[in-house]
Amino acid sequence: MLKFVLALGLGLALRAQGPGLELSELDFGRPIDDWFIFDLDGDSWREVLVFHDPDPDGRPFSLAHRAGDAWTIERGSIPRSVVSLALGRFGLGDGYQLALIHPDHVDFLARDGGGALAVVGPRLDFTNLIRSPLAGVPGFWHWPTDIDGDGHDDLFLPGDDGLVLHFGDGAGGFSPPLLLGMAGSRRVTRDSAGHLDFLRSYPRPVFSDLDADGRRDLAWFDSEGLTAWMQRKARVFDAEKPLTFKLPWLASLDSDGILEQTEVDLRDVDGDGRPDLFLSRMSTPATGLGDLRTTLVVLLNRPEEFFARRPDFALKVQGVIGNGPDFRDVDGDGALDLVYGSYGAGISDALQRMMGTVKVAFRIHRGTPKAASPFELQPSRLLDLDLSKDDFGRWGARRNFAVGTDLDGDGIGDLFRMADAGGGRHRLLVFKGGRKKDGELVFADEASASLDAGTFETLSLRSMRPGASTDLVLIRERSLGLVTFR
Amino acid sequence: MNRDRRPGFSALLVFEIRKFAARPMPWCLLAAIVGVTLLLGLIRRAEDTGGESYELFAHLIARTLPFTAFVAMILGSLAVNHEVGAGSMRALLLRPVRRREIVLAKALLLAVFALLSGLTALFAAWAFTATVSDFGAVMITIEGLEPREVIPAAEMAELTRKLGLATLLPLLTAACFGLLISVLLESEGSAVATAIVGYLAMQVLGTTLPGAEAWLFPNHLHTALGHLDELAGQVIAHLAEVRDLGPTSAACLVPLAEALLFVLVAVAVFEKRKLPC
Repeated sequence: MLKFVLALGLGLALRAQGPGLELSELDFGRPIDDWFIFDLDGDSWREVLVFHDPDPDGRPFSLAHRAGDAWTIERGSIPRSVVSLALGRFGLGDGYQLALIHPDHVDFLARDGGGALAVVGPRLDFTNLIRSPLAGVPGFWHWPTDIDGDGHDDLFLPGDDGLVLHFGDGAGGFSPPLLLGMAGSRRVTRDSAGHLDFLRSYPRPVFSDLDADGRRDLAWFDSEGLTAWMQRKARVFDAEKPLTFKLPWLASLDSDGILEQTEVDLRDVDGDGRPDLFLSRMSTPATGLGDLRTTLVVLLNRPEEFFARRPDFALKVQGVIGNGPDFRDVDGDGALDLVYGSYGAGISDALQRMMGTVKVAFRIHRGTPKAASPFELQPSRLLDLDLSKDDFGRWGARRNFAVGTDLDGDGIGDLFRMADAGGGRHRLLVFKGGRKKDGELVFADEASASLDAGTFETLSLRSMRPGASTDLVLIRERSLGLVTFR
Repeated sequence: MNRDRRPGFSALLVFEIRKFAARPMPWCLLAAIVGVTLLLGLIRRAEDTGGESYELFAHLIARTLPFTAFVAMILGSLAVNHEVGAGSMRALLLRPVRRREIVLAKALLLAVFALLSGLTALFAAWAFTATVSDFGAVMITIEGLEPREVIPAAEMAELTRKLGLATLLPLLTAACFGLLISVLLESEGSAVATAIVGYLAMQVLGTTLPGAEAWLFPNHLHTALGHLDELAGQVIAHLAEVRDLGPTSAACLVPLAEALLFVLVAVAVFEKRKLPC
């Protein structure tokens, strides 16, 4: 029986304002362990799901959803048997349903008419017992994924011999399971009772429409390179050997764990709707003390050939890529640009760290989709920010762009800084981005907006509505601060 | 020099050149630059750590040019106080010579020697590299993929020439900085120590203080060397900056202006200074 406890309460939502900025405070009343922002009820406003430290009954959570201008906080607990979560539109109510993945079945939660989360629809049983956490408990196994292109989200789960797909019919039902073999590893482990068991682990599955036929193919990266099962017809995958592509640096594998040093992903970097192959790898040159370098490579996906062995874009960057790399239209010209921030370049970085400062070099390469290369080789914008070591840790995450994130919703990236206000407090300053006549991105010299951000542990950037401007999320010990540009 | 007639500046300069050329130290320095370049190059080749063409060239001058700057600065820091201590300055000042001309002649000689040393370092590195590798285009090579050209050979040669010029001027400034120290401090040991500490302090301040990098001459040398190392290592983040380098760019004018300032201050101090004559 599902042990799921719900309680509805009103969270304290405080508001504060600074010139041009508004701060909404979501106080959850207990320490925050992890958090997610997504649209659970399909009203286009995203909800905030916060997990707290586990207790004997399970994993307590708080779900904050917006009702008009106010926020309502709903509380509950995820049973301990849940190994992972998934989100999707499975047709069990309006909007999205939260799938609680147990070792042998899936329960679905949705918000009913009263707004509270409740179990909906029949549970989905499966025979493959999931014995291990999939992506960290209770992390999300996957986000909404319509694999077969029929407009309804589907569910995929790890099985003993590969990935098991359950295609949703949009009315709460699922197709019989379809097994797709994936190369994985098996290891022997011992459970808490002392019994030996086999655990399978798989590479991260990437459902991506490689051939742009409207249906997603299953791809993954491992020491063999990029492998993909192509979905030629709806719910029918190639019976032949899957597509394989030997990744660079793996051509003559001479060191273990080389994939761990390489970031590899499929992303549409030129805006043609086809996922391109993107890789970055850190290396240490033979010369130079601590002089790290990162190589970025883009291989475009073309109709005539998935990925040629000639790089469409290749760049070496001094230091380690700490922010990004990301592909976004920063200057508002309609083309995706390449954005990244790097640190850790040579002796000067070591000297500055001794003085308590980390220099982060932000670079923006303008997108040139009609040219031979998808981006200009020379960065169009160079900006070095000196951050204190603490502040560097606060927004050192790979997606937290202090430079080039559109905060005011005008379609052009802005710049923000967190000025030290003493006593651990910070003052947020926003410098508006604009374009010169020649299209070059520039930032205002004077801050156009500022706000007392108080104390926080880390920050992130999220949009609370699709297509809306980006909010700053300040993660505090017990609350989240949402900073919106007015 | 005639004892009664006031010698011209050119006569003073020739006098300084003769004294300088008669010393073994400058010649040892030039030989050391060539020898160190050869030794470093051979070690690099023996290590088999790669490093072809511009990468090897950048590796060699990144080690010999700072060494050259240090030695030029140390020679400068002994230029006046050594002669004061030895008494030869006293003998010179007994003649009808202008003090400022003495300092200017020494400054000019040191500057020329610093430039000559720098050119020697550049030429030695170029000659060694050319014997083992071609100076071609800069390519990003990725194992398993075709290489991709990022800087054509002709442009890279032009950029290297510009960076070479930019590395020479701070050497001249280093020599003039040393000259100023030698005028300020009588003790040779103190002068050498002060010059070295001052150089390193400027380098650290230029690295850590925002905005200071553009105004402190040691950083001009290291910035130019760093840019060459970047380009040789296929990093093109500062390519536009290097393309804009020229005789009128800040990277050239600031070290020259600082050298001039050091010399003028040295002249002013030497004019007022009481010497134990």
